[in-house]
Order: sequence, then C-alpha cells, then structure tokens
Amino acid sequence: MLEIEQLSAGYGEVQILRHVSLRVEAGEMVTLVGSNGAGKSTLLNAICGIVRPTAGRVRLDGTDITGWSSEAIVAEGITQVPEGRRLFPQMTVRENLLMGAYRRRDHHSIERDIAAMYELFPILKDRQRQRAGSMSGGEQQMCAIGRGLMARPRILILDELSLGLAPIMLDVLVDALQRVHAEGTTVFVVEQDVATAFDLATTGYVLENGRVVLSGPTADLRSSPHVKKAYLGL
Amino acid sequence: MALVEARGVTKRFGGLAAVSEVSFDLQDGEILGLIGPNGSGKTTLVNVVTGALPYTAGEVRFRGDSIRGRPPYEIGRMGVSRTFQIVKPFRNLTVIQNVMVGALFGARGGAATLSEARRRAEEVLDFVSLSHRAEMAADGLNVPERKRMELARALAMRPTVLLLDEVMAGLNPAEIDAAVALIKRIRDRGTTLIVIEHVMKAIRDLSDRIMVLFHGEKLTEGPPAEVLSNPDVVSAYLGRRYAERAGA
Repeated sequence: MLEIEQLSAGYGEVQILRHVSLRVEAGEMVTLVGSNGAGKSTLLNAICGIVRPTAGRVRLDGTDITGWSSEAIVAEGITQVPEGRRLFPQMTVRENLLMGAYRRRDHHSIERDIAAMYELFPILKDRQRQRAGSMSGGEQQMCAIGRGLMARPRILILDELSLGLAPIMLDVLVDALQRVHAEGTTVFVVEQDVATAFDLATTGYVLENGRVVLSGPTADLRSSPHVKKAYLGL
Repeated sequence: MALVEARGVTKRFGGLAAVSEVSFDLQDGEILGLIGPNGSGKTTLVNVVTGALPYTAGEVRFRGDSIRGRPPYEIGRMGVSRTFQIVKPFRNLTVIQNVMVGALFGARGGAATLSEARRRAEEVLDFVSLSHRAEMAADGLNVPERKRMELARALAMRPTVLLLDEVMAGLNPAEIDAAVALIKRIRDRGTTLIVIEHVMKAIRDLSDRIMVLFHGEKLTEGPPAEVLSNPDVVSAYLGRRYAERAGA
C-alpha cells in the first residue's frame, strides 16, 4: 500500500533522512520507532508533502506521490493524526469529527461514521457538545483518532500516540486501534514508546540518525539486544 | 513542620470538582511523585499551589504561612517555582535570555544586574547541559531541549520548592535516565520537588513518596513499591499492560 524507496530529505543544507526504505502492506499495522532527532517527523513530513524529498520515491498503491502537495496526498487517502493531537480547541468534539470528513462527498454516510466513532470511543458521545480543548489529553487523543478515521483514509498515520498519556489510557487506545485495524484499516504508527509500539504492530522499523538500522517482525525486534538496551530500558 | 502543607484543597469549575478535599505534606528535601489518569486533577493541583488558579476551599501553607490568595509572582518570589506541561518559552528571545528572565525575576530578590543574571543563567544552562544552545533562538530548540530550557528558567529563580509538570514526556530511555539523574542533583543542591510524570520508570526511580489522584481525590500515598503494587492504583491508573510487564 505505502512504499517508501531510498528516500532522502532535510532542511536547507541539513540532511536528515538518508536512503530510507520501508513498506506498509494493505491491512497491516506497521510501526516506526526512534529517538528524538532520529528523523521520524521528517519522514512523516516527507510522506505528507510538507517537506520535499531530495531523492527517492513515495508510492501509494503504486501511484507515485513524491513531491505532491499535502492537499493532493490527503485526497489520495493518507491521513495523519498529528503529534500533540492538534484539535480545533474551540470547536466541539462533534465539529472536530465533522472536520475530518470535510473532503467527503458521501454526505449520507457521515452520520453513520460519527455514530461508529461514538461506539469506538463512548466517552466522545458523552462529550460531543463539549469544546475539544477542555478535555483531558487521553480524550483529546481519542477525538484526534476519530477525526482521522472520519476521512476514511486508505492509511491512517499516527504520530506519537502515547505522548503525555497515562498508562491506563494507552491500554484503551491500544485496544481501540487494534479494533480499527481488525476492521480493515491500514495503520502506520510512529512512536517513541517502543514497548507500546511493539504491543500494537506486527512489523517494525527502527530509525537512527536518519537511517533504518533494523526492521522485521516486532516479536523479533523485541528480543534484539540493541533494541532492549537502547529502547526498552532493559 | 512540613515545608508545604495542603489541607482540604478543593477547586471546582462550575459543577465539576477538579480537585476535591486534597491534603498532603511536602517535607524539606524530599521528592514527591504525583501520578493519576489524564484529567485526574494533577495540573490543577499544581496551579492551585502556585497561585495560578484561585481555589474553592482549603488552604496551602508554605513554611507555615498561608499562601492562599497570593498572586503567582509573589509565590514565585517566596521560592515556589514550576515548569509547564506545554512549554511556553519567550520565542523571540535566545535560550540564555529566557533563562535570564528567571534569574532577574527570581526568588530571594533575584539577580540585581544583567551581568549577574547572565552569570547565573550560564551556570544553570551548564547544569542542565544546554550551554551549547545558549545563543540560539528559543524557537530553534527541539521539544526535549525546550523542556530543559524551561527547567533552567525555573532553576534560575533559585527555588526552594520546584514543581515539574511532565518534563519527561517524549524522551527515550537513555534521556529519561539522564533526566532522573539531573532531578536527583537538583534535590541534592537543596530543592524540594513535586514531580508529575507518566513515565513509571522515572517515577519509581525518583520518588521518596508517591501520591495518586483519581477523579480529583487522593486515592493513596506512600512509598513507591507499595503504591505501584496497590491493586486500586493498577486498576485506576497503571492498567493491564503495566501489570503484565511488572509480573513478567
């Protein structure tokens, strides 16, 4: 579904990503882990058309989308749940969810999808008329995921799902994402909390200094001495 | 007498009690870990103690004197300093200028001159390992660096009590170990701390005691090993995956 081939990108003179290749197959849940400054955000920015790659290709279902505008990339079916949620804080929960669907033409099914989001995250239904900015971090993350799903993306990208969330809240989000994935959505999770990332995804990539240094089934990565020492704190 | 004594602190927003009847003591020289689910009232409690929010009922005493109703700048000058969960640097100032603001404002009178403020800021930036960024615009820092600058700005006030609101969010395990060591050094230099954190490894390694908030109320408090194995804390906060890992 998503294919990144030998991608390089950076800002001005500073090269951040060096020949990064990775694949997310249709229906798969894949994670990319790495520390601050490893290049995770730059990679997401390059996929979503915010940073123009200096070399390499990004393909979605075989269509070369390298260098496309962000708008065109969203229209093609890539939706991002951004780091720090970035909800519209003055809008209600319901309005935020509707914003996720703003490009859709199938207006008749939007209400049904909102109901599905309320079913996935029942607290959002209770809070539907509340301002999004007044909710706790975990509830905001639920709303941001819901808003992303409302676009009916071909692939949903999550940037730092765990940031600032209580352990028990992460349990809820992990369960919900596993359900979303089981129902057929392709998911790509970029995450610093490696333990959570590996609980979620079946395939993982480890990014260090702009390069993929390890990849494979997360069950194998979990037992890698390097991953244990550098990322799991074992 | 405890350094900080909170008694029956309650903060209501309309009908919602964000903090309800919370009492605790903070002893001189200790590190108190503060945990609880998102929305349980941790940040509100910090806002109340530091005077950023007026509260509905109760009292907070610092060195025996009530500080209820005092404005935040006064409480800051008395020696109670804090960092913010969402980092708010002065974006158009350099890193060292940001820290100098803390030094100039500071507790116990603050720095009297710009050169003294600069010297103090340099010393604090060195202490948090951020000297190499001193002349950079605060805007140019990445998130963990911003958090360290925020910490430096609070430290430049030379606080007696420092409240840290999630300074470790977004750090990797190696950076967390470094931050834990740094916070221990802050305590060793004579500052008493309240630390809010969702990173359990850090909370366990740092805290002399842990207090747990749940729906605005104090659920329990005690030594880390006891609190983190308390079934009520597991079901309210730590969750299934934590329990599985701890058991494994």
